[in-house]
Formats: sequence, structure tokens, C-alpha cells
Amino acid sequence: MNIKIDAKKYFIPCILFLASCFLLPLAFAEDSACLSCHEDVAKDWRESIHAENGISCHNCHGGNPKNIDNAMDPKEGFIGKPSEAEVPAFCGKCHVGVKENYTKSAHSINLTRGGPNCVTCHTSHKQKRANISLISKNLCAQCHSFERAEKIRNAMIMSETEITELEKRMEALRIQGHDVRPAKNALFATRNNFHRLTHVVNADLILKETTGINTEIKRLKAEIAANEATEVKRKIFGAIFIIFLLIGALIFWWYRNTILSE
Amino acid sequence: MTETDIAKRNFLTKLVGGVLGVTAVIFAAPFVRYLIPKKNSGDANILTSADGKPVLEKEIKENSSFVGFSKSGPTIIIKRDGKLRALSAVCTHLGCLVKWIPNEGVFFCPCHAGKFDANGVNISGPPPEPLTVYNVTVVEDGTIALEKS
Amino acid sequence: MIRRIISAIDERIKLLEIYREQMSHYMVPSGLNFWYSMGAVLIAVFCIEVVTGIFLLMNYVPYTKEAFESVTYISNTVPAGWLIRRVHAVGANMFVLVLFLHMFSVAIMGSYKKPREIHWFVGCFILGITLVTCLSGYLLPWSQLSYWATTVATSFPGSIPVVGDWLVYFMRGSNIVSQETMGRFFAMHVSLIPFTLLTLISIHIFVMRRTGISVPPWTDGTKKMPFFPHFVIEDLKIIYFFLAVLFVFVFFYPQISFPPDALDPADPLSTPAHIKPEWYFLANYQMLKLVPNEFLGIVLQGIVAFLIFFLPILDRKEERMAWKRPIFGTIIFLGIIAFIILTIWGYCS
Repeated sequence: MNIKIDAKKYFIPCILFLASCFLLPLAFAEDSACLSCHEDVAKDWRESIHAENGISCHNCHGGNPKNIDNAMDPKEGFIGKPSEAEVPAFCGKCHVGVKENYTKSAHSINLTRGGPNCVTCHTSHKQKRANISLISKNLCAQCHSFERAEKIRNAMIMSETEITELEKRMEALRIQGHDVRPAKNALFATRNNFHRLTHVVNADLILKETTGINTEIKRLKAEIAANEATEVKRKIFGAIFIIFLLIGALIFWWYRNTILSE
Repeated sequence: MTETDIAKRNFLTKLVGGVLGVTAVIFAAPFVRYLIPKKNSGDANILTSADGKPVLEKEIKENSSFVGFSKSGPTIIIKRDGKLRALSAVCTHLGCLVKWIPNEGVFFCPCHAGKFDANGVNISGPPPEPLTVYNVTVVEDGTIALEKS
Repeated sequence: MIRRIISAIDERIKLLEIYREQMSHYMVPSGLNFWYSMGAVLIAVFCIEVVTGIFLLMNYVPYTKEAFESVTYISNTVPAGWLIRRVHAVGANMFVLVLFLHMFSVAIMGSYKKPREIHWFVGCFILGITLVTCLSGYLLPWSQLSYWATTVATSFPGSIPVVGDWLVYFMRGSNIVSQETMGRFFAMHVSLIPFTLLTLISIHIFVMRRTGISVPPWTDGTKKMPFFPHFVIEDLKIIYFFLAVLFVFVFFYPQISFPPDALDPADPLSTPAHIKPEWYFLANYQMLKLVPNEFLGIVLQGIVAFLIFFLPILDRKEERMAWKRPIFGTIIFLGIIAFIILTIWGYCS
């Protein structure tokens, strides 16, 4: 690293400036050339979970993000905006499992007749981390009664709540120094399997598959509960020991004041 | 000093000593436990290579041997007529690891020229006892599970 | 039975004479308050750090690719490893805190004055080495926090003209914090520093015994009490209290030593937001952020360190009561307030 003396002087302020201005992933998902013209889309994208994880314009649309001259050149892989019918394949480039399930669903069959594609519910650029609130009246009841969507939602809400609950408990354990990585990965995989499942929009099928997921959830719950029990045990031992130390100090004080006073 | 004073003094002195003693024991306990590692008895007894990766059945060639690790220590496995046979590789004389000599069909210990036959029975040299033989089961994923016979 | 062994040894090397000289017949002023026990607390915590450190050493691997995993292994798999690790980390923080308290009380009570100037000088060296210990130990878990806090801390000398870049290269063993840095920090932390600290502490206690402990300024020093068991039990009382505080944090609030960045393995390619050093460095860190020229900031801090070190030479008046030393009192008061404000400011920024 050949940094001249001048740059070295500003190294610390630079690091601090970077750190305070940019969230870590935004420092990664560097500003593409695309954003200089497509500012409205950029605004939406910045709030998305894609942006949070460093997925930028060219990752989906192709093209060259570094050079505005050939940013939209098909030779650079630019594929532009997908048509309504092309959206599932477009998102399915990465979200393969979801696309597979979607293709089996009533939504996919009715796509050409005004049915929903991915962006109908998830938006094209403002996607947040998926959760059960997406199954809602204002999204689902646009085309048909909410009744059938509600059935699916009810089938899923218990497991969804359990998963969210487990995530919170795992994080609490992680902060205390537990290595929750294997459990976290297993939960992440389970959660993804589960969410992928929604896309068949068939309540009975979902209920059937949910049993497997619930077994896994139960197993993880037991593991987390065991770790939490260990933490509680440790804290109890700790409390006893601390009280013992304080009593010890008191005994020393008593000894000093009675036996050893002049 | 009155009797009660002396008694009180003795009691308090013992109390102070007790506190210090209990503290020492409580402090020592985690360190002692730290030094005694957990035995992972739950894991299956799989033959692994030196870096801990399981050895697959197909990696062992006919009429050749492989020395690896199992829960019982260094283990030698040979393939004869397509069948696997696993034995402890630790010579029963003084603990060196034996080698398989395919031409002679014996296990040979290089330290003092001890010899064991293909079943592990000590046939020549100083070893006082045969090598321990294990039962071999090939698991579906190709790894080799061992069991004391 | 024990009496017989003791008298047998005593016949040969006159052990009991040493005991009488150093313990039961050694007299100390009787007005000693709890500030006087800070030294004993420091010795206790030092011993705890050394012992926990040795045990951690049994499982720790000082190689960048394995360090974090080995620490995770200690904290999760090794029996009682979590406890030993937490005690080591929280204990280090407690050591620095009590060290500050100790220096504070010595300064306020004027115990650095003649004939105890040497104690102060040695003590300042102990402070410096302690901070180096904390800095080097911080890197060893090789977490995001370790890596980036060390990067920030080792880049400060870079602003010194002429030798700055070379100094940084020398400290790190390469241009960036890397395996070379880990190697030298580790060797320093586990061998050089414990021996150095042990030597310095021994000298510190030796000169303290030679001059005798300072008389509390509010007494005249005529009333005395035996060191053993009277003062020893006072020391023990305070030690137990501070150990209770230590274990409150170890068992109930270990997060104080393990912020979220300490839970992720180091990634040399991404700096976390809000990286900042440990609390005892926050004041220095914040001050360097405020002073426009970094080199000037370092020089100013050097001057402050110089003034603190040479305090017994600068303040040669004999008066030891704090309220009869207005100039000194004002400077110390302002200095401490500034330190606290800068620390809090550094924490919040």
C-alpha cells in the first residue's frame, strides 16, 4: 500500500467519515452509473433488502455499472426491464425455489389474465424482508375475496410466529457469547423453505408441507431452550457466588471490627 | 478475655478461614473442569484420515491398506477379495504402528520386526497379543463405520 | 503435624523471622482507608488475569485463520471455558479501572511526594505497559472489533513526521494488520508483558516496603497496626467486594466486554460502522478527533503524559492535604473532568 504522507494524515478522519456516512453494505453496493439517471428507482432500491445485502442494479438487469457510456449495452449483458410475463423468470434467476413453487400455482396459471407476478406483492425495487404481513387484504383482495388468502395466512401464522420468536431468542443467546451459527443456519434454511412454500397459494398443500417444517422448528426450539436453560443455570451459580463474596467481605469486616480492633 | 470472648474469637477465626477455603475451592473448580475435556461419545466410530475427513470405501484399493484414525486410535484397514477388514494399527508390543505387507499377507511392525497374520494374530517376534479386530460396516454415504467385535 | 514441618523449615532457613518482619510485626499507619487497598485489588486481579490467561493459552491458536474459531471453541465447547474467557476479558477492564482509581488516590493524597517518587515513576510504567497489554490482547480474538480497533489504534503514529510510516509498519509487522501483527502482539501479550509487569510490580512493592506505606494525610501517623492480620484483612475485604463487582459483570452483563462487533470474525475488507476503541482509550481517541492536526494531538497527549510522569518533580511542596493544595487540586480536578467528558463524548459519537 503506497500511501503518501498526506493521505495518511487523513486516514483516520476518512475511515470515520466513511463509517458514519455509509452503512456497511452501501459501501459495498457501490453507486452504479445507473443511479445518475434513474434516481426515482434508486430511492426505492436504497430501502430494499437487496441494497442491504449488496445486490445492485446490474445483478438483475445486467449492463455495466461502472461506465455510463455502455451501462445499458446488451453486449455487457443488459437485459432491461422484463415484461409482466417475464418477471417470474427474471426474479427466478436467483430465487429458483420460489419460482418453482410459483409456477405450480394458480397465480402463475392466471398470469396472462391479469394474475399477479412477483412485483405485484413484493414491489419491483422496494422489497423488504418477507414476512407474513404480505398476505394482507389490500394485496390479496385486489383480485378475489380475502377469504382464501386468509386460510393460507392462518395455516402459516403459527409457524411464522415461532420462527420469528426463535430468531429473537437466538440473537439474545448470540449476544451472550453462544455460538448459534449452526442453529441460525438451520433456522434460516427452514424459514426459506417455509416462505418458498407460500407461493403455491394452495392452503391444503401448504398445511401438508408445514408438518416437516414444524418438526425442524421444534428441534431448533429444543436446542435454543437447552442453551437458555444453561444460561439461567450459570446466572444462578453466579448470583450465589456473588452473594458469597459479599458475605465474605462482611465477615472480614466483622472480624476486623471485633477481634482486631485495638 | 472472658470465655465467651475466646469462643467468639475462635469462631470468627474459623469463619474467616472457612471463607478463604471455600473461595479457593470455588475458584479452583472451573479450572479443574476446564482441564478435563468432554468425551464425544455420541459420534459414530468412523474411519477418518489424518485431517479428520472420513475415508470412503471406494478409496481403498484391492489388496492394499490404509492407516487412519478412529475413536479407538490409529486403525489399519485392508481390502482383500473385495472385503474390508479393520484392525487396530497399534502393535501390542510397544505401540508402534504396523504396516500391511500384501505379498506376504502379514502385518509387520518395523520397530522390532513383530508379525501378525491377516486376522491380526501375532505369529512372530515380540508382540504378546493379537491386534484388536473391528467389525466393518459401510454406511450408505460410503464412509466406513467400525465396531469392536 | 504442620507445626512440626514449619519448625523444621524454620530451624534451617529462619522462615518465622521473615514472617515476623514482613507480616505480623510490620506496622502500618492505622488510619488506612479503602483507597489504600486498591493495590491489593490490583495484585488479585493481576493473578486472576495471569491464571485465566494461561488456561486460555491451552486452547487458543494465534493464527488468523483459526483464532476466532479457537476462541469460539473455548467459549462454547470447553467445559467452563465461557467463564474463564469472560473473567479474562472483564477482568482486564476491571484492572484498568482500579488502576485509574489507584493513581487517582495516590495523586490526591500526595503520596507520590518525597520519598516516594520512585513508586510513582514505576507506577507510570506499569500504567503504560497495562495499556499495551490491553491493546495487544484485544487483537487476539481476531473479531471485527479486534481487527478494526487495532487498525485505528496502530495508525496514530503515522502522523508523526519522518518516522511515522515506519513506526506504523514496525508496530504492525506489515502495512496492514495481519498475521505478522498477530504474531508479535501474541508473543508480547503472553510472555514479554507478564514478565515485565511482574518485575515492575515487584519493584513497586519493594520500594513501597523500603519507604513504608504513606501516612494518610489526615492523621499524624503515630497510631499503628500490624500489617498481618489487620491490614491484610482490610485488603481482603475490599478485594472480595471488587471481585463481587467483577462477577456481577461476568455473569449478568458480559456484553459490556463483547459488543456486537466482537461476535463476528474479522473481515479485512469491510469496516463496521461506529468502530471505536475500548473505554480507557476513548478520551485519547476523542481528543485526537477534536484537534485538527493529528500530529499536534499526539504531541499534546505526549506532553500530558510527560507532565503526569514527572509530577513528583514538578510538585515538590511537602503539603499533602488535598484542600491545602489549590493549584494542584484545580489541575487534577479539571484534568479528570476533561477525561470523563471526553470519554463520554467518545462513547456517544
